[in-house]
Amino acid sequence: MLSVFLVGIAILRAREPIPLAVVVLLAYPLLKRKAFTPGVLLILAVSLLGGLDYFVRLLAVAELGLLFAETTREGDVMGALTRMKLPSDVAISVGMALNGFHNLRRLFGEVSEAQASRGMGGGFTAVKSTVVPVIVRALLLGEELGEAMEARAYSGRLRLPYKDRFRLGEAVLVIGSVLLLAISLM
Amino acid sequence: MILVDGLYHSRSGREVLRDINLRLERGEVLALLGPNGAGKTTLAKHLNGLLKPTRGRVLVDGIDTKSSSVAELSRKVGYVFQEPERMFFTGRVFDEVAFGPGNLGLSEDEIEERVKRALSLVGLEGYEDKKPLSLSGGEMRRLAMACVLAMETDYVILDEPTSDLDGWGFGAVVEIIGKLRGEGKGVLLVTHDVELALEVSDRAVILSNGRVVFEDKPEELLSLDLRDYGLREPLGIRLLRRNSIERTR
Repeated sequence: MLSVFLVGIAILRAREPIPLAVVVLLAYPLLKRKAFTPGVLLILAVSLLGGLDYFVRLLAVAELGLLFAETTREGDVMGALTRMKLPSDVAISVGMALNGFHNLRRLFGEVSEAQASRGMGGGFTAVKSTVVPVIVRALLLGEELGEAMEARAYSGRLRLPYKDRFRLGEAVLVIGSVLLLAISLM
Repeated sequence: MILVDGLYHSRSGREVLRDINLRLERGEVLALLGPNGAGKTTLAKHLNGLLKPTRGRVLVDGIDTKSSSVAELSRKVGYVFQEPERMFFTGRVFDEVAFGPGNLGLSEDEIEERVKRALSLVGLEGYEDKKPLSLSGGEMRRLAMACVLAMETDYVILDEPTSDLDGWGFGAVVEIIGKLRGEGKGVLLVTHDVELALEVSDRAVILSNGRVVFEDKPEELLSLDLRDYGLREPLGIRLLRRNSIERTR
């Protein structure tokens, strides 16, 4: 039921599905050579459906990730993981991943605004000219962040300042989230 | 004392720092001035080991930066980066400030104490639960300072601490630098703001094309034609110059 719900969300959010014309165009050379015997057609159909299935699952996982990142504070997750006696590095990795999402979104917004203010319209060219600078800036940001962490004495062993009191509710939520992720990938 | 001895640094086959000799004592504010691209940040990053000399050496209280990791050196030398928003990675001001002391292996109570003290020093009390990236530019810069101050290092490097700051922010930075000096810390102030150097530093150095071209008391800066060094003259001097030109017409 949950998978169906997530898939539904994913389909609703997939605003720009691959146009049918593109599929026909790709299949045209095969059609011309009369390669579409019933067996080949069946394999193709199964493969396409399988691919679509994985695509939708990935979208669902991405949606789940977005939902998690939008509604969860890095500090809360780091605190919960630390109190569950997981290594601090795990907590900090998860916290940084969440923060990375916010940073990427901020970078994407900044670059898009800069492109738009210089008259860039929509379409594939706009996406291409936005994605490349975002990737470059994200890589630079990662490097600088690494330097900043080192400059604050980070050497791979960290003690996070969260009181070491185990909280059952937190643990249930964390384990539940991991299970949810696993289910939506299965 | 931090001693820079015959430092050379090359990047992509080009020498960006050449024969740099400097020292920074505890309780002293040293202003490192120069135009954009002069090599100021490159030099500053040598002082806490983020960059290693191609030739020459940097000694922090006698420890060669070549033989120490950045994490080890960061217990002695704090570095406040030029663009503070790039150093934040947690979702809460408290966590961000606590990260450094947390790496020093202090107790939770001591960490909390240091976070409170650092936030109070930069005037950000009550900001503990805010998101670092939601703060204003000036607040982010002060938060970046708090992150380093909480580590209570003997030396602090401030890379362009007043860029993008309004009058209040500028005043706050000047006050913080004064407090650091009062606590006996050595401060390297990397800036192209001559007025800031005049206001807070004990000694000034100008870097141009990777070389030290001036080293003296800050007031001696006024005897130079700063435009020759790619620096902006203080407003008072610019006004005086304009008035004298108008009078001669």
